[in-house]
Amino acid sequence: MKKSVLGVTVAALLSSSALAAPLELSAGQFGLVYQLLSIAIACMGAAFIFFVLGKQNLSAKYQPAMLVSALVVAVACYHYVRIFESWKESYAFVDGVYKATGIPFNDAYRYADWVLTVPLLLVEAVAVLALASNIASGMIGRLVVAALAMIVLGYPGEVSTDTGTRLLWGTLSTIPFLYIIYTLFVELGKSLQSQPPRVQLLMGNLRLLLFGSWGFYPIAYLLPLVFGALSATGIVALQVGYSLADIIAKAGFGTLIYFIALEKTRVDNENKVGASKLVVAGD
Amino acid sequence: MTQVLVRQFVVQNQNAIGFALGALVLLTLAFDYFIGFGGENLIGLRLVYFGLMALLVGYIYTLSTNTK
Repeated sequence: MKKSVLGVTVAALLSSSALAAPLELSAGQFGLVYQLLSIAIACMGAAFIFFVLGKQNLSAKYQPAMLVSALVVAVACYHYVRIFESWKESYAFVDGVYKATGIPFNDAYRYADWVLTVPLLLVEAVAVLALASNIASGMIGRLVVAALAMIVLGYPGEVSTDTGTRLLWGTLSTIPFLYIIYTLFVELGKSLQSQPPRVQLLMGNLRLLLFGSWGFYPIAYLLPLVFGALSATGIVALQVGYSLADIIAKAGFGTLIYFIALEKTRVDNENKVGASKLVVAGD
Repeated sequence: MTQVLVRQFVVQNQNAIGFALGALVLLTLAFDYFIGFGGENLIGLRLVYFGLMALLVGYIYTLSTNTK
């Protein structure tokens, strides 16, 4: 019996969902996370509707990339609803402060999300460019493997409350992240030269957005170490950081993908009209 | 040969397969909400997501590398 209680206690300590349990938050701190989670739900929901409706404006070649964008934000929206519900259950307003109710705050959905969404975001960035078959094939394969390596290596650190473990696995998962950045900036950069000028510009912005928002995750990951894993400021900073990064990395990223696909559709249509005029003139 | 047939099928039924994959993802979310996949740190859900990710990446890969 003692052993099983100890097992449960260790499991609870290892679980990221137990991080917020002993906390007391000010009304401002609780409200900040509450509002940001609400905004994240609204952004993801609105982005889903926009991507589903916007898909009709694109040629068939670019529609799968938009479908993936829509699914990414739909999954994120659901996860934010679950995180939001858990946040509300975890704290109660008592004597002017928000005290932990004893129900652990479960934000594991945030991390579970990445298994599905991170490889998809990378794949859609390649898919929307409609690159030559052999280039697209190699790049998709390498990006998916690197994305999975990044997520798997980050997992032991995510479920640990030990600073050393978090730092070690956090650093290890940064290696595939750097490889992804290299692939997007150097290898994909070479393929961009054959793209229309506006697509080159939008793709440049997309890569910067991805670098900025994904680069924010390791910072948010380390914030509890700076402020203390069980401190109110640490928990609030982590939730705020991740929520902002998610809105940019999913809804913002998908919006840029839409505009790239729209521009590619326009250029393709112009080329088709040009080609048909040449055929008519030739006749 | 099978690979060629699968590719042909995916390309010809792009919209229907995309719709089916989207429905599968939404069904997964509904299942998780009402029943749940279980496991410490949502490991059950993560494994299901891994399967979905493989299907979706396969779908995009097939369409992106189609030369015909």
